[in-house]
Amino acid sequence: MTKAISGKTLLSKHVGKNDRILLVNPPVYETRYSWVKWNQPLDLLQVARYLDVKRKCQRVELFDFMLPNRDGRVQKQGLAGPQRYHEVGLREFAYTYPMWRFGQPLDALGEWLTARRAGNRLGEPTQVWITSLCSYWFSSIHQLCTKVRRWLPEAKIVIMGSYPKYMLENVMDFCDADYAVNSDFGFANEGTSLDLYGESKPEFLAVPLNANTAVSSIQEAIEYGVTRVTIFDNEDNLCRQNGEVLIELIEKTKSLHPHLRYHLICGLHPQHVTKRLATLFSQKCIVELHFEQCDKTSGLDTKSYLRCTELLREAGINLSTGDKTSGFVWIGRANETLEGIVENVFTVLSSFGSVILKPYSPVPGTQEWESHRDYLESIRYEDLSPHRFPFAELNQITRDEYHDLYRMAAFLNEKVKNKSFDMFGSSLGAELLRNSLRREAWKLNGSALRIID
Amino acid sequence: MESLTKNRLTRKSEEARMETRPSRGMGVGGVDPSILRELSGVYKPFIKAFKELISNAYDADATEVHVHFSDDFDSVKVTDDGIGMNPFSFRSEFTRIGGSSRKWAGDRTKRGRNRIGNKGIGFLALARYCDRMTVESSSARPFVTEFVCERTNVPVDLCKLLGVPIDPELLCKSLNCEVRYRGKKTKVAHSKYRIVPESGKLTFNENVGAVDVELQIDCSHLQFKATLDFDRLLKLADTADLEKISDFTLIEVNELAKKSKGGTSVSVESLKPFVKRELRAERRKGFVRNIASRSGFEQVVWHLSRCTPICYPATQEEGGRLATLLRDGAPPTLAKLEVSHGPSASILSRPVYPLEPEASKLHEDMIVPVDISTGGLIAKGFLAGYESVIFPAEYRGVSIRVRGVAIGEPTFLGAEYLLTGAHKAALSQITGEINVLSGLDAVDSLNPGRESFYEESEHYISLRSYFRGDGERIGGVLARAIEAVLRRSQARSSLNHTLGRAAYIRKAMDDVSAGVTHLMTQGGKPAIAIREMLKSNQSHTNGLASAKSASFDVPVRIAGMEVKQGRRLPEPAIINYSDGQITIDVSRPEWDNGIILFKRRFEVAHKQGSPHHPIAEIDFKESRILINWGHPAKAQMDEKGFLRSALAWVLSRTASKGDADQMMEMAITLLSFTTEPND
Repeated sequence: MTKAISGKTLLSKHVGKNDRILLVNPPVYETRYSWVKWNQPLDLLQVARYLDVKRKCQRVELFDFMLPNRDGRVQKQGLAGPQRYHEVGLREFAYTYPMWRFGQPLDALGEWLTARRAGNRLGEPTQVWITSLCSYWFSSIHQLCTKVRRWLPEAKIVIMGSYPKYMLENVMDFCDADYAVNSDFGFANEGTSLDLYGESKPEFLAVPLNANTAVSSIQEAIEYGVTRVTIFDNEDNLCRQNGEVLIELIEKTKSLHPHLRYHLICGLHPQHVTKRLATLFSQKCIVELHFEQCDKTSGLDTKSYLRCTELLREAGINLSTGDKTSGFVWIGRANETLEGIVENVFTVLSSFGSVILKPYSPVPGTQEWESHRDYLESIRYEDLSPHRFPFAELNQITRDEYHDLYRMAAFLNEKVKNKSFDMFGSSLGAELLRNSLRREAWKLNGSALRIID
Repeated sequence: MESLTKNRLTRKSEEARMETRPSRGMGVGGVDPSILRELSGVYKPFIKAFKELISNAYDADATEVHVHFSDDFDSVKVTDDGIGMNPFSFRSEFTRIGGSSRKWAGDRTKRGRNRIGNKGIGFLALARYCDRMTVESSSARPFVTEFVCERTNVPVDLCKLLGVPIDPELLCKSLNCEVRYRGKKTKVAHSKYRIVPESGKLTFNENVGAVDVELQIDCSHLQFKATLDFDRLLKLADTADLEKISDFTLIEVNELAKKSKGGTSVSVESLKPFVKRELRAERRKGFVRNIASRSGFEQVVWHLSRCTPICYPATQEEGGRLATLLRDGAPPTLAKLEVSHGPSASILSRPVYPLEPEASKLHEDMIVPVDISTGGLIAKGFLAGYESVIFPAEYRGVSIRVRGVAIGEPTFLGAEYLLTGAHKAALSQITGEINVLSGLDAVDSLNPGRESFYEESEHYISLRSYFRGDGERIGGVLARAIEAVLRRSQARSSLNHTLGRAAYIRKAMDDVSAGVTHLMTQGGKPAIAIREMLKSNQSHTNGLASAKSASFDVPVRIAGMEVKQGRRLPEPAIINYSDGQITIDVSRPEWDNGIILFKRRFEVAHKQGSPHHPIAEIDFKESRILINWGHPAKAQMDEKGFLRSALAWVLSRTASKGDADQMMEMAITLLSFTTEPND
C-alpha cells in the first residue's frame, strides 16, 4: 500500500545512516521530446547532496536513464506492442501518435544492479527513489516500480517529483511504491553535485538560481571536467530582483574557468530584462538565451519585446541571425486561435531571430486548471501531455493544425537562419524546395511589429 | 682450431683458365648459365631468398645483424659481426656451387650453432631479385690450400692458381709455402725453390719432379670487396661460352692497417622493379586483420621474423608452461636482428601467436606439448587451441623450425585435407610451434629452398605420424588440440543455450507482468477485473499441483561438465575447464521464478502435467501460478510463446470470469505487451 508523505517527513523519519539509497531518473515514454538533452534530475542531485553530506547515509547512488551516451545523444527507441501508437481525440481531432522511449531501456537498471552485485562488495540498496520531471510521464514509472520490486524485493520504493505532487491519487492507485512524496523537500535553492555520475560524465551542470550555492557546485563541476552550465529558477524567473541574483551568480562564477559557458534556456522574461542584464547577456560566456513568451491581457506585450530587443541590440547582441537568441511561443493554451499563434510567431521571430514553439499543459491545482476542471477531468491523465494538445477540442484547433504550426515555425526559422532542411544537402532540388517553402511561409500574415512600425 | 680448405687443382686446368681471365675477374667454377638460372629460382619469393643472407650471418656466428632498406627500396644492406671471410674463402667457398660451409667446416659452428646452410647455392639466392650484390668482408682466419705440381721446370703463378686477383707482393707478404716430394713427407729444401714477389710465381731452381705444395696465407690484414653482377650472369644465353661467366664477379683485395675483427657487409643493389613494387605496396584500406593486408614492407619484416633464427619475444608468459616448452626446444639464436627503413628501426622477435599482444588468453587445458624422440628425430614444441578464430590468419597452423628457421608456411601436415565440418573449422583456432633439434635437416629431407619437406623422408614420416597420426583418421597431438577446442566450443555453446533459455523464459514473465501493469493503468473494466482477481485468496488448482516438476531450473550437467550454483559472480557463469565444472550465478534475475502482478508476487511453478490438464492454474492461496508444459499447445510454439500464452490465458480467464470479450481483449494485450522492443 502506497503511503503519501511529505518530503521533510520522509527525510526525518524514514532515512537513517544505515540506508543505502539509489536515486533513479526514469526513462520517458512520449511522442516527442525536443529538449531531451537538458533532462538532468536537479531534484535528485540536490537531495543526494543532503543525504550524503547532512544525513551521512551509508551510500547514495544515482542511475540516470536519461544520461546521453558518448555521442551526446539520449537513447531513443520506438515502443512495441500495444504501446506502439497512442490515439487521442475523436473525429477531426483524432490523431495517432507513434510512441518512443527516451532514455535507456528499463532492464538497464537490472543489469546495472546485477553487475554491481558481483563479488558481494556492495550491499543492495535499501531504498529506491524514483523521480518524475512531469506529472503526465508516469507510464515508465509504473513499469519501473514493478521491475524494481522484483529486482530488490526488500527495498522501499519512493516516488517523488511532479507525478506524486500533482497526481497523488494516481500514484496511490497504480504504483507499486511504498511512499509517494507529495511536497517539496525544500532544497530548491541548494547546490548540486555531479559526483554521483562517476565516470559517466554528463554534458552540463544544472544549478538553481542561487549565487551562494552555485559557486561551489560550478567549481566542483569544473574539476570534474564539465564547463557548460544551465540555470533554473524554482519560480521560473531568472530575472527576479531586477536580475541582480543572476548577475551576481554569473559574475561570481564566470572567471572560474576560461571555457565556462552558460545556457539560459528557461525562465528569461523579456519584460524583466534590464540594461545591466543585457550587458551581461552580451558576454562571450553566455551562449544561449531563450526568452519566454510575454503576454498582456490580449496578445503579446509587444512593447516589452521592443524594449528588450532594443536593450539587447544596444549591448551589441546580433538578433537578426537567431544564433544566440530565440523566443518561445506557447501553443496549446486554452482559448487560443491559430491566427493569434501565427501573429505571436512573427512578433517573436522579428524580435529574436528565431522562434521555438512551446507546447502547453495546464498544471493541476492552478487557477487555469480550476477554470477548466470539468473539461480537463474528461481527459485521460497521460493525455495531459502538452505534446498531445489537451485543449485542442476546446480551442477547436485540430492536432494536424498544431503540427502544421511546427512546420511553419521551421520554415520561418529557415528563412532567418537558413539552416533548416540541411538534410537535403545543397543540391539544386533542395534549393528549389527551400525557396518554394520560404515563399509559402511568407504568404502568412505579417509581423505585428511591422504593423506597429 | 681454424678450419682448413683443401683444393686440389691440376696445373693444366689452371693454366687453361689463366689465359683469358681479366685482371680483377673471378670464376664461379664453370657452371652452365642455365643451371645457375635454375638454381637461383629455388628461392622464391623475395623474402625467402633474402633470408639466406641472415642464415649466412648465423652460420658465421654473428650475434647481431642489421638490415637497412634504402629510402626508395632500391637497395638493402645486411651487416653482421660474424667471423667474416677472406678473399680466398669467398672465392672457394662462398661463390662455389655446392661449397656449403657445412661440408668443409663441420655441422656446428665455433659457438655451437647447427649450421643452416647445406647446399652451397645461397649466394645465388638473390640473383633473380637484384642486379648486383656487393660483399665486403675480412677475417682473421688463415687460408690454407694444397695443390700438386707435376712439373717443376715451369714457374707456377700463385695468384692465378688461387683464383683471386691479388697484388703479388701483398700475397707474398702473407704467404707461407711448404713443398714436399710427391706422396712423401720429405720436404724439398728451400734452396731449391723461391717465390718471386714481383710476379707472385713459385719458381724451382732445378727440376725436382712432381711435388705437393701447401700454401698457408695469413689473411688477418686482408680485406676484400666483391661485386657479383647477377644481371650479367642471368642475361647470358644458355649456349654462351662458359669462360664468359668468369668475369661476373669483380673483386678488390686491400691491405688492412690493423688486424681484422671479422664481420661482413652485403649490399643488395638495384632491386628489381617487381621487388620494389612489393616493398612499396601500401597497407590495405579499412579494417585490416591479416598480415597479407599490411604494407609491403611490414609484410617483409613479419615474414623475415618468421624465417630467421631469432629470439622469442620476452613476455609475461616468461616462466609459464608455454615459455618452458619453447625454451626447451629452442636452438641458439641471433642475439639481435634489427631492420630499419628511413628513420624507423625495429628489433625483430620470433612471432609466436600466444606471445603476441593481440592474442587472447591461452588456457592451460588448451596447450598440447610436443615432445618427439624417435629414430634420430628429436623435436619439441607445443600446439595451442583458442576459443575463437585466430587472427591474423597467418598464425593459424604449426610452424616447424629446423635449425631455428621455419620451413614453409605454418601447416597441419595434410590434416586440413582430411578433416571436414567442425573438426576442420577447429583448425582455424589452432596454432603451434615445433623446433626440430635433431633430424630432418639432411639434404634428402628438405627441398633446396627449405620451403618443404620431402615426404618420403623417414624423419618426416615420423613427425607426421606423431603430429596427426597415420591414415585418414586424425590422431596424434593434433587430435588432442582439436578435441580441446571442440570441448570448449561445445561447453560454451551449451552454456549459452542454457543461459539464453533462462533469459528467454524470464522475458516472457516480465512482459506479462508489464502487461498487467499496463492494463491496470489504462483503467476501465480490465483494471477492475484484475484488481478484484488479485484480492482473491483461494486456490483454483485442479490436479496440476500434484504433477511432477518440469525442468526449468539450473541443470545438473552441461556438455558433460558438472554444474554448481553460485551467487554474485562477476559473470552469469564461470567455466573451469581444468576441473570440469561450470558455476552458474543463480542470484541473477533470469533464474528468478517470481512474477509481480500489480503489487502482488507469485511464484511460477513449471509442471509436467498430462494433456488433459489445463494449460495453467492459479493458486492465490499459495501465490503460485502452475504452468502445464505437458499441454498439447506446447507442440505448436516455442517455450517463450507457450509460457506467455499460458500466463495470458489463465490470468485473462480468471479475471474476466466468463466475459469472453473482456477475456480476449485482456489476453491480446498480455500476449503483445513488451517494455523492451529489442526482442
